Amino acid sequence: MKKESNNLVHMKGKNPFTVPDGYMEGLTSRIMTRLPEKTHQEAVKVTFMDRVRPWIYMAAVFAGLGLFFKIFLATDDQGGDVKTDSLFVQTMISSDTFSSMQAGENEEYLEYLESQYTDYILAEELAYYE
Amino acid sequence: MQRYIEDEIVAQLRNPDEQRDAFAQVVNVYGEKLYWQIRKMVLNHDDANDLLQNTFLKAWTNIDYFRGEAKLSTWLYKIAVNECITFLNRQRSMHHVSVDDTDLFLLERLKGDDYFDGDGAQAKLQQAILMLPEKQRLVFNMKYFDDMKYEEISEIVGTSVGALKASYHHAVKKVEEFLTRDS
Repeated sequence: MKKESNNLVHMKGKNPFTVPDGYMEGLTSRIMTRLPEKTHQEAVKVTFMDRVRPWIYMAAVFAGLGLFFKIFLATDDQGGDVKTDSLFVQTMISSDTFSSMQAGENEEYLEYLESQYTDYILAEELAYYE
Repeated sequence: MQRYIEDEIVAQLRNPDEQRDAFAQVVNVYGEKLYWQIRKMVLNHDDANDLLQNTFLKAWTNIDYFRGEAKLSTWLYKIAVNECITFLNRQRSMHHVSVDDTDLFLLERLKGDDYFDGDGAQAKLQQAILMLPEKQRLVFNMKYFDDMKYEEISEIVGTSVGALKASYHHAVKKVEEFLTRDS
């Protein structure tokens, strides 16, 4: 083991590698000439319009969508009414109208009953006098 | 580079007008050190030269993201190590070598390299180092050749100091064993 250690100790500090003549002297300039130039851009000024523009675009999209649905859905509704009317007529009677009609009928019926009863009483009384 | 000078350079790197000159100083200070670190990993001069250029190109491109939380040297070493690992993985895939196998194909490149001036013993040392797993090789190179502190290696490699000491100990054992095997 002592001999093994001595091998490494003996070789330590010796550099078996070499470089071409003048390689290290011109190293910095060679590396620097191959590096690209950097373009430092000035910060672009953001205007009020730049900040608002996305919101305007979004509002326009929603307005367009709203208009689209309004036009197409409204047309569908009107067409549907016409179609329904042509096939089926539904009479709509309001509840007030219905109750007033019923009240009128009841009144007529009461008048009828009253007249019948009057005739019956009158006939009985006349029989009694006879 | 002394700490106070590094602080000055980091401040200049943040100033667009002084950035390029400050980076040139960085290249001047760390260029040679990084070259040797890369060279010991990839062995071949041309590969080391390309990787060094790529290291500084990446550093230059990302210099605005350097916040100065770590030392500039640590940051540069990290980039260089990553470049080396990426390069070696690419080479392994080209030579159909798995990560677990030794990188002996690098030895062939070393033999054909005009800029290797070592004797038989040095060539054998390089072969022994190539037998090490990648991380042990990295730690061995940093400690044995550059005598770096474990704390600094720990920041670069992202491994605890204790684990690095164990790693270096195992690496030295393996290298010594290899060197005495056939001698």
